[in-house]
Amino acid sequence: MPVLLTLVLWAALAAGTSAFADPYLRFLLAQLGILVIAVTSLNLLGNVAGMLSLATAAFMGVGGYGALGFLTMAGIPLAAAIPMTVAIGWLAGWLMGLIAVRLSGISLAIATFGFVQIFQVLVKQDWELTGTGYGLIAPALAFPGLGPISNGQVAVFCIAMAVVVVQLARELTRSRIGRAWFAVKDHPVAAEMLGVNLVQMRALAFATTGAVATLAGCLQALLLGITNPGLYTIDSSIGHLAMMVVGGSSGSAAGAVLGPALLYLVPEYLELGEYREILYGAALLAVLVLAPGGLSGAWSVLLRSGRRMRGLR
Amino acid sequence: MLDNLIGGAAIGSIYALIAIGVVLVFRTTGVVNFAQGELVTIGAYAYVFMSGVSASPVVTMGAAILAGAVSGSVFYCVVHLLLRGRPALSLVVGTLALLTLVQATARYYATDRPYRASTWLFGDRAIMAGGTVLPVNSLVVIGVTALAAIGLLVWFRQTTIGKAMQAVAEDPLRSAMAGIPVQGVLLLSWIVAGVLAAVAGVLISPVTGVFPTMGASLLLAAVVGAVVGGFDSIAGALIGGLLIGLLQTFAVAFVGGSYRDIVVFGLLMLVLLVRPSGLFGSPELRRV
Repeated sequence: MPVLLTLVLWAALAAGTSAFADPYLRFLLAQLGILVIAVTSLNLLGNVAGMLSLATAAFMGVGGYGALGFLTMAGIPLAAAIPMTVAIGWLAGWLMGLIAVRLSGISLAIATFGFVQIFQVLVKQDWELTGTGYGLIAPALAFPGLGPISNGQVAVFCIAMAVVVVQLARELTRSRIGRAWFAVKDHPVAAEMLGVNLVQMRALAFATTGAVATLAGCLQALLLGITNPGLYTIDSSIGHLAMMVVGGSSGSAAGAVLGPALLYLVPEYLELGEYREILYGAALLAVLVLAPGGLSGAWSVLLRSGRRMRGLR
Repeated sequence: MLDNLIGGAAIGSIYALIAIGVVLVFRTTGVVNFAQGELVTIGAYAYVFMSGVSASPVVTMGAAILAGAVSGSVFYCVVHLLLRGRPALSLVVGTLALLTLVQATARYYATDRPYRASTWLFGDRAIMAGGTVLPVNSLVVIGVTALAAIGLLVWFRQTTIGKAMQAVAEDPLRSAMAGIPVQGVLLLSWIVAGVLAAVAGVLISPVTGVFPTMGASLLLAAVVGAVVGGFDSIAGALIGGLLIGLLQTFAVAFVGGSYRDIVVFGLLMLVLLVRPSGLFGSPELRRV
């Protein structure tokens, strides 16, 4: 059971330390955690299964509107609302995957971009579920056994979930399914010869990563206390893509943490004001120029040289 | 009806000019340039600033074209010299970095407030045709785009440089062995893309105003047009761009503004499902 043990330890560690940090830092870390979950989903889809998607914003939107819709309109408790929303995200991902298996490269990216634009049109409609087009507001949250939940507890939960998702993604990448995805990316024909069902594996990749991105959307809506169309524009999808590439193309879980950390946490924490965007662009370019393997590539080079110095290799 | 047709064709022409640049760069280099919209913005700013200095349409358009060409070369340097040998996706994200840098710089020096631009060549004149009032500028936009597209197609078929560009798009290695300066050809395709985008910026600026994200808001519709037309075909980009412009205009007029994107992306899904390589694309297209 070492996997489960590290899982629990990591989650407890992150949640415990961040609970003592000051509220602003805790909020930033929670936002980072949400981004890490979203980029992890994109990393699994893009760098492991080899499919380029711009639909993360749409899935996060499904998460946000789903979670708050269940809570406010259906009166379903939090503990059930999140799993139900994630299940919807899984299903939406599967359906999208069935369309996506026919496409590749730029056509796939533009088709997924189409999903985001259509989602934008839908949430701006005058329906009850969309708050007549202006979005929804989260009710007071409660969890069985805990009673009412404060905003700080939501933030800690976001951080803990990020640690759990990263660990699970690591395990998934090394599992039979993860190896099948790598095979589908690197050599679809050879993978098919070895008995990998291409259509099924690609649809499964879309479904799984759709569920993960939906979870990120649920957490974001709970953390911010609101959901509105402006949160789920194509710009945030493009931001996730940039974070994924900066993280590195090897599909490692570290990349999905380091990318958002550099492109979100650093500019946000330094409070750069008007220079924020310039730093963002410069950092993006600098990583692409200086670290061909992305941040995770640079990280593993560092680890290796560290081990060598300690005489371990 | 006629005013919708001309208006749709005019905005479609702008999309087409941008889309042709995207396709041109993609064909020769394999890079999807997300910063193509920023070339539009740069051209529009150059036009507005030059309009304050000179009233001559040749000078103002010339300044925009020069700015587009110079920026195109700078983009070439970043993507092909600075990021040489990186995987295609890294190059695409490199253009995203360029996008952010250009937008941030524009915001820093010119603020988010839109600049008003005067209409190139004929001012705000309009003509009467068949009982409807048509702005002359729309006809200018369509005419310039038609000239540029026909010029490009003839250039590709008839001149040595044009044929060299075709050859590099087909097979860079063998082109180099045949004595074609491959890097020069790549540079040239970025410059042509920059010039086309700058011209689009001049033509659209009186309609939208000039502000940092003006190009980015046009780019996505243009790229959809390029995908519908077939991502590796110049003629496809022209027709795809026009189609998207017309469809948007007629969707707003007959279905309602809020359903515009559903109509456009409905068409996109339909085309991708029936012909994944686009209307005019070659089926074996496998890049990025």
